[in-house]
Amino acid sequence: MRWPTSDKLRSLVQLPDGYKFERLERAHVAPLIAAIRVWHPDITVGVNSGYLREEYYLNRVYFEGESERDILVVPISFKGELIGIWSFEREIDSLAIYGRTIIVAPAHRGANLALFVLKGTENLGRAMGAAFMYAMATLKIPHVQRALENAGYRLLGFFPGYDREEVAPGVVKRVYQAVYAKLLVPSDEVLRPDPRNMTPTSKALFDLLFSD
Amino acid sequence: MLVFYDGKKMKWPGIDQLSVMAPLPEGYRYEWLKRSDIPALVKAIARWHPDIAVGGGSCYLREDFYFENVFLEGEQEKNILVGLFKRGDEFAGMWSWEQEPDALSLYGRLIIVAPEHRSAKLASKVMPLAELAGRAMGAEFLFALATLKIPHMQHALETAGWQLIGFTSGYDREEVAPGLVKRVFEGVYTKVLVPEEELARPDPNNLTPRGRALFEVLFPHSAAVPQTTH
Repeated sequence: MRWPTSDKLRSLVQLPDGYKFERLERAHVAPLIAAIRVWHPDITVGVNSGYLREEYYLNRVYFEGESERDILVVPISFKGELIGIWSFEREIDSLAIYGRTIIVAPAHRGANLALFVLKGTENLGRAMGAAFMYAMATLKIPHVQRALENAGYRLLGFFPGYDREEVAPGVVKRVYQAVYAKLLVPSDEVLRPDPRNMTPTSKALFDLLFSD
Repeated sequence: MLVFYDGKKMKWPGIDQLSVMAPLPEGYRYEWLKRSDIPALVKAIARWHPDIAVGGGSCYLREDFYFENVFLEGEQEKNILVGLFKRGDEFAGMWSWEQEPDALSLYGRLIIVAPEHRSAKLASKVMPLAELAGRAMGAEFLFALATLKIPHMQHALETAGWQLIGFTSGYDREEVAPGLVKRVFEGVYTKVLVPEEELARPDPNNLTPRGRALFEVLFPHSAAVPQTTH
């Protein structure tokens, strides 16, 4: 599963007029961190707080033309101005893509970039040979859940407290998040479990979620 | 109380503390993986659990995975840990955890016990150990995926008080018959290590109808009172 070039990414994922994916360069990192801090101040705690640390990019994120790494960060611009980032992670052994985050400047939230990006992730995943895509959705607002459901993602369950958020100024709590996924392979390539190998709890929840 | 958390960094516990937290049956002991153990461990895992050759766990059959990603005894801290069950000089099994310091969480990645040592019930020690070590490290949330090929891991997690919160529908791959690889479902189990009041409950108005229905099944007492606008 190799990352596409930024040119290839632009052909796989359509954005609204005026918006463009940029190639992440090392020189972008400091201004990007400063911008994310303004766009999404809640991110200072929790699993995505790494996007505010320079060493996170230098140690974990792929820069085009350098050695492959598992996390990709794609800056998004509008008429030349940086207005957001999209980031995902590949899991090569599972052939999976994890949609980690999309952060957009408040002034551009009406452009529905998340919807375009969700559709595009599927094209990207297929081009990379992924078979499974997943993402976590905040329960602070319903928009991401709706966008994932409209894009054909299936709700698989909830993580009760996997991540932390600043729920009010200075108050950090663990939060529930919804887990959504989409399969990119035909359903006959997935083995359904034998109910005899499931506990009663497991079977009851499985029947509720996958009775179709 | 043992503490391996300084408020900023989660540190793996010392091997001596493990036997205090969850003593093993007589004759068995814990060890952290050493660099010199890696080739023999890879061979042992391939023999104990040949199905692991495809899918998310296949990295445990590659020596470079350990060199690049795993904390090795006496070396620099890394986010993935491999523990060994040993009896004399023999490997009796292994388990692996991954810490996510930004989320203060611990992920139970894998447990494999050698077939000839399965009657010692070594795997059942790892669930309470994860909770004790996790708390000492400052972890607030534990999670693990359980195979649905056999019920043992589901039973063990449920008995240890972990909650089933959903399933992955094809996240991983397994060799389900010789030469036949399929994607598989796995159970997702979690355990929250903080008091209820440290968990922010969602406003049901912020969930989609589908989300709200499932949330009420999984957490019947956890939905917050809907917020009203005045």
